[in-house]
Amino acid sequence: MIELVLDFVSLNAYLALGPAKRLAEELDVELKLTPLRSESDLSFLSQPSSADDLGQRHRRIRADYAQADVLRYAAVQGLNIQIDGRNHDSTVALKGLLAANAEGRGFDYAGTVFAQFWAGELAIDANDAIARVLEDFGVVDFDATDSRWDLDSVKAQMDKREIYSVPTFDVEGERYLGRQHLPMIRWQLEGYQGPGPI
Amino acid sequence: MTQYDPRSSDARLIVYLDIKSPYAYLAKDPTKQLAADFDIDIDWRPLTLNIPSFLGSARVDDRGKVVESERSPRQWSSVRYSYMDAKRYARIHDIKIYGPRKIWDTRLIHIGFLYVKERYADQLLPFLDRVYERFWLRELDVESPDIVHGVLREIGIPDEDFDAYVEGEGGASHDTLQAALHPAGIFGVPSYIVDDELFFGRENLPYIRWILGGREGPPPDMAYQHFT
Repeated sequence: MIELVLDFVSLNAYLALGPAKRLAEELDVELKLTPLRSESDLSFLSQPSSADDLGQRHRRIRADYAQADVLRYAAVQGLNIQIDGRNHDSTVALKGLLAANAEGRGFDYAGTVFAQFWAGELAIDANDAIARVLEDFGVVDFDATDSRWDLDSVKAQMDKREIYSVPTFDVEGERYLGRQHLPMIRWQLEGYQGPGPI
Repeated sequence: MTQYDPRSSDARLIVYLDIKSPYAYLAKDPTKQLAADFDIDIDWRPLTLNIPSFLGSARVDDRGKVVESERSPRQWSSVRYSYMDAKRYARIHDIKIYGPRKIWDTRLIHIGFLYVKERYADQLLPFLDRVYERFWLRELDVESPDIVHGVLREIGIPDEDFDAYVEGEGGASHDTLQAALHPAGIFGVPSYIVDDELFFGRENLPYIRWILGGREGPPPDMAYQHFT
């Protein structure tokens, strides 16, 4: 099984979803999606300040690069990305993923939410909007306050496993941070046969 | 003093490395392979990371016990993951990576890097091979002038004027280059510049390969992809 830990506010998680699904299908293994609230890939973006120390400057420049990088590869994947410059609370949408997982429709739900949210067409913090998406995947009358959708307990499990960022893959106990590890994940699942990744 | 434009070179590809980065170590040989495959020159350059400024500082004793730390739990988690991750890829290629017991200042060895690059260019790759291997076996004190002299002599490079180079043009070249990197958007290693486009991390080698190959077909996604 491949477990992919994701958050809808992460563009890198969005970019990981399709390749992960293709790999899982090709190798005929289960793909499990686990929601984890995280910081946006874009959350460090800020204007340079003369008061920046070396560390702040490093983090800002790195964040600027990260945004350019993820947009470069979003174009490679042909994804429609609209950045509105705001931070979004993904709690409701992530609880929706727990509900969709309970119906066995987690991947389809996640693909829909990612695509609509990053196209600027879905309010991921609105219960009504998420409930409408979930109706297409067999979940009726979704209520994010329902105690069954307990993100905090999922977060506690992730903390124990030192999973703190998205997208993270867990394959038979091996943790991989980022989709660049998919060749390694393939190599692992195929029994470490042939030349390994660089 | 040699002046370096951070994002421009006569070579087709600029590559920034830091000796104290295991990820730069892992990138070195696949990058050399890339250059061989396309028969291009690489302009190898040092980037001296100031790790405590963005990842906190720490020191461990001979048994790996933390004896000094200014890191948050999140920073420790990130550091632990990074070394675990680098080591698993290193094992595939029979590269040994022993975790360092402190954060090294690589300014001196990077001035040595420039000394070899500027005066004995054909010896630069043997120099990098030797320094990386021995540093990550914990056999090289890269802050010691005597040790750096010794490495130069081991690969047959005259070192009589190395101290003067460090105190003069070499130190100045190094420091001027480092000061120019952040304003040019360059912050980490390994970094690649090709066609004035910046890439951070060896996971971009498939994309860089696509550029060097004339951008034929659809561009590839990022990956630690093996090439045959």
